[in-house]
Amino acid sequence: MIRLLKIELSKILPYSTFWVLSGITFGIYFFFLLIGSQINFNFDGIDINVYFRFPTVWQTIAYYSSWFNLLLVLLVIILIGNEFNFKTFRQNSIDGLSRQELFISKLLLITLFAFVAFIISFFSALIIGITYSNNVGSDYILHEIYFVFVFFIQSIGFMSIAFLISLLLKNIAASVVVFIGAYIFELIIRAFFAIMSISWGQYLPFKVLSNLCDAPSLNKMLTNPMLKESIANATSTAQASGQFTDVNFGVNMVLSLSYIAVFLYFSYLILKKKDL
Amino acid sequence: MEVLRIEDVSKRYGNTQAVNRFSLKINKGNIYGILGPNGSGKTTILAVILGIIKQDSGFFQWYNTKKNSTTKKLGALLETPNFYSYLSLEKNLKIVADIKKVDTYSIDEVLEKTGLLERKYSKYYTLSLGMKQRLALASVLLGDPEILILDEPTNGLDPEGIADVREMILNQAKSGKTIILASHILTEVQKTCTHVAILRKGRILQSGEINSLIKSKNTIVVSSDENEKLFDLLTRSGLYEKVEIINNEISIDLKENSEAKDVNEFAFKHNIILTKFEAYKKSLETEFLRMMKSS
Repeated sequence: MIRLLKIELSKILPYSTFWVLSGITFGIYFFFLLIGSQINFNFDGIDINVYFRFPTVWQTIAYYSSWFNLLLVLLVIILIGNEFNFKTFRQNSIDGLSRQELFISKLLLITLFAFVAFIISFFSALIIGITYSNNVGSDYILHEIYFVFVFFIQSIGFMSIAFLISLLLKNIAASVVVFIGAYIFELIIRAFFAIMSISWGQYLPFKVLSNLCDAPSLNKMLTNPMLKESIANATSTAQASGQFTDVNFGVNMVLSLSYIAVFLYFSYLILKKKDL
Repeated sequence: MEVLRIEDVSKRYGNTQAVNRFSLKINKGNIYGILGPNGSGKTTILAVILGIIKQDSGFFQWYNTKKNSTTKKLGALLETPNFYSYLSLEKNLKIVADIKKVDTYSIDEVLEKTGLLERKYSKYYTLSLGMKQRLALASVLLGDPEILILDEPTNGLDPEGIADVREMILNQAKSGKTIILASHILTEVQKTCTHVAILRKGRILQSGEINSLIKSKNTIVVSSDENEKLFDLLTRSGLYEKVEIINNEISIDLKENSEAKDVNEFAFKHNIILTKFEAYKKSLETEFLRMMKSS
């Protein structure tokens, strides 16, 4: 495993595109995080800073970070596309990597990317939380910390879709277009299902994965009890009328893990069966 | 000792039969040339035995075992050199060394052998076609494999480079290595190989030792106004190794003890006037071209 990861790292660490993309993304990530955390609305009954305090900060950062999954997806598509472009998948196999090892090496890379993204999110949330929170007791800090772990799984999920598409199409530009196209296609399907009052749209892969790191509830920033109650009532009325349905978090997690397993399994099958 | 056995391997791409019931046995120490025109299936059969593409039918065996257990013994160059264009030569070979699980100190050694040591830190994309080909050969040699599989190894090389590669192949063969060399350059195969398989449209036309393939001394090509009668007489006489009609001409392979003038005398004795009489020293080239025409 370490050997395979070492081989992968020796391919990407000297790759300037990797550093440029990462640099731009981290720059944008920290820039907006800094700007966002400085915003201080002071309306009566609304406290926006609650999103930067423990425990909500974990969910805020996980949700914010989830937008940057697009970079991870792009990186996976570029790196796998390169292997086909340079015919190095083929050469690696000739030189002695089995198809299983080729698969594992890319899976390790995906896990590593997700882990780095998780670490960045974790420390961003921790630092912002400590800065804005008055109560920094360990129980209070750790409450809702699971959101950043869920972000880790979400990243793997989106990258596993990118992995599968890249192996199928073997072309960077086509894979990017198909990934975005699949996302838009799913949006259309969901809209169609919603019009037809079919709840299945909630179980489609992009939606299931996106649901993992949902935005923190607007209710959290409301300090006025009356306002809070009226929003809660409006939400429950909408749910009762079937305008939107919330999938239980546990069910969503099981579905996400199932989708990841399916995408990775098909990726493995493609690598194993198809000509390189 | 049998290194590779291929039995009835076929591979089809859409409507094109790339390889058609290909069978071959290669023994240790053989330098086996796979000869054929472009599109004859040479690269496909090599890709199959390297596990890069899956055959539709048939099977192959390395050392009577599954391929995966022999990959460390293989060094292969298939079609074009395949490397990461943004990496230096050294870093590209480091990846190959890590995959082959060999020490990286041998990188300098193979770069030296292929005349690329000075360009060790150059990026791959800055190399000329010939240098890229040399780097591919360097990566093949990394880890001192027992079997070398080379697909058109002299592509893009200058005459000096071609001679170097030929010498390298012969040196490797001297140390007991088995070499499989696919090429459409006849002289290259004749000068380097001990055995040859001639392919056309994915099918083997002939295979075996090169010496036995071109053992008969001469080939005579004749024609007359009475070709059919002459062909019949020559065939029935039993005096010649092989008699066949190719493109309205009669090709005659002479036996060891017969001479070209015997054919002329034979025709004269049977009152047939020859309108064409050409004698060829048999080479792999003439044999190859003859097979291509007759098939």
